[in-house]
Amino acid sequence: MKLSQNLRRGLCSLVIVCLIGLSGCGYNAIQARDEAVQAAWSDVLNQYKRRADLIPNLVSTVKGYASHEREVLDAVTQARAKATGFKIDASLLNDEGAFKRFQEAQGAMSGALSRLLVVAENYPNLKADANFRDLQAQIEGAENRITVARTRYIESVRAYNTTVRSFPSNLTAKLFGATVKPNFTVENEQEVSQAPAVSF
Amino acid sequence: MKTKTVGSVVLLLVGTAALWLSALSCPDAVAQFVEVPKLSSPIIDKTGVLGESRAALEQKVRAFREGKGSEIGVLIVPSTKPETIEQYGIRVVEDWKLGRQGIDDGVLLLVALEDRAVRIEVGRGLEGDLPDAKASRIIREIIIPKFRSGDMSGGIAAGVDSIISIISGMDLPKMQSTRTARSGHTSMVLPMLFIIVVWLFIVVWLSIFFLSAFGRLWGVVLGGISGFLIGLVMLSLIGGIIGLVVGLIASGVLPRGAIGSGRGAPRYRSGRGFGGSSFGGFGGGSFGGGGGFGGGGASGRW
Repeated sequence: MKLSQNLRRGLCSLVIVCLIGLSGCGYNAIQARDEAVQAAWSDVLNQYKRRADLIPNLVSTVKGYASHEREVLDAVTQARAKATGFKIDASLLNDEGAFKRFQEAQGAMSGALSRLLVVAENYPNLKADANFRDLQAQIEGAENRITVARTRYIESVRAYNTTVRSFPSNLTAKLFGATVKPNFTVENEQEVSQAPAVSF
Repeated sequence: MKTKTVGSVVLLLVGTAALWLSALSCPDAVAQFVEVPKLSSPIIDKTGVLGESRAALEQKVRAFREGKGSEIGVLIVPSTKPETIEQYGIRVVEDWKLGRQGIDDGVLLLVALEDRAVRIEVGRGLEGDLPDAKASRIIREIIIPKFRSGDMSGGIAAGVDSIISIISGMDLPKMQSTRTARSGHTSMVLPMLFIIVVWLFIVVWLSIFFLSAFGRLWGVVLGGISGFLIGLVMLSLIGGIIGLVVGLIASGVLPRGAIGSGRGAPRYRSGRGFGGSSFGGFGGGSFGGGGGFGGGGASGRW
């Protein structure tokens, strides 16, 4: 009889401790913010993919008018291969090194792409091509969407990191292994947010 | 001893003052950017370039909203500097939320006169039929030629016309459908009731358990504490779910109409049904229903 009463008491205390632990320490807040970060991140990936999907068409159109600009064209194709060949999964968000490499690959692609568009300026026939102009507008649109998606991602990571770092939810975060997520760096943000400058 | 106290008090005062100053100086950093005007009318002209054609344009845009449901806004500013027109444009549409909630069928035509830049910002729901290439064509082939010849209001009106003609051909939900989509406020009541019933059940059960295990005094105390905590857990669970949904919507993964209870919905709805609106009244309501934008559209310079 005595043993079972002790057991009951122990059980009750355990229930109470669990309840305090869950409600008071921001476990749910961390989960919700983490989910928001994942959602924002998949939007970023979508927009990068949108840009990558436009490249083959753009390259073949430019080749039709400026086939001897092999260097610039190859640079774009290679940058695309590198950026799309990147293994993308959720673990990327928790691995600072991989995240940085991903960023660099996408940054290299932005650079190669804007060089190609600058070179295209030298070919009046190419610039007058309706197909090329549409592609150019699509690339610019993709770049702008990337900027917007990145800005929203940065916001969501900021909210998540604040929760993970501030008391008392930082204790919960430590317990469940929720670590600070890497964010886009400012220098790179400026570089990427510059849509390729093309005058009409 | 006394000087020490005085010294620390002074230090405290200085510290507080510094904090206040830094808090006050913060908005200045933001104020460097061009302000997003309040959405008092679908056509906002900060430069006066539209002149008398403004009223006709507003009537056209309102009539189109009445018929098709989509919201077209026009904003003319002197300059967007130091931001680019793209950066300013996304800030404007994030604030105005043109278009119906969940359908996201808003379009903004933004002109920065001194920068000689124009942009069409397209809502997520219209990106399929008004893709970037088409928006770019409207700018290049319809708006900019008129701008170059000095006909600003003609260029803007022609731009709005071609946007209208493209959206007219689209198969969008009718006006009524948004209202049924928004009548989902009651859907939150049922889950709440369910949660309260579950909470009551658990608390009664636990109290009986505690009373038998610890006797009257501790049983009552523990029962009270655990009842309170369980309530907290459930509340935070609800909060977590709401946070999750809002987060998903904010990041654009879920459409804005994904949940019945709508943010921003009342603004669009309140004007309707009262006939006229707060500004001029072509039988419209105020614009800006909660449409989402993801940066789609095109820009051009002349």
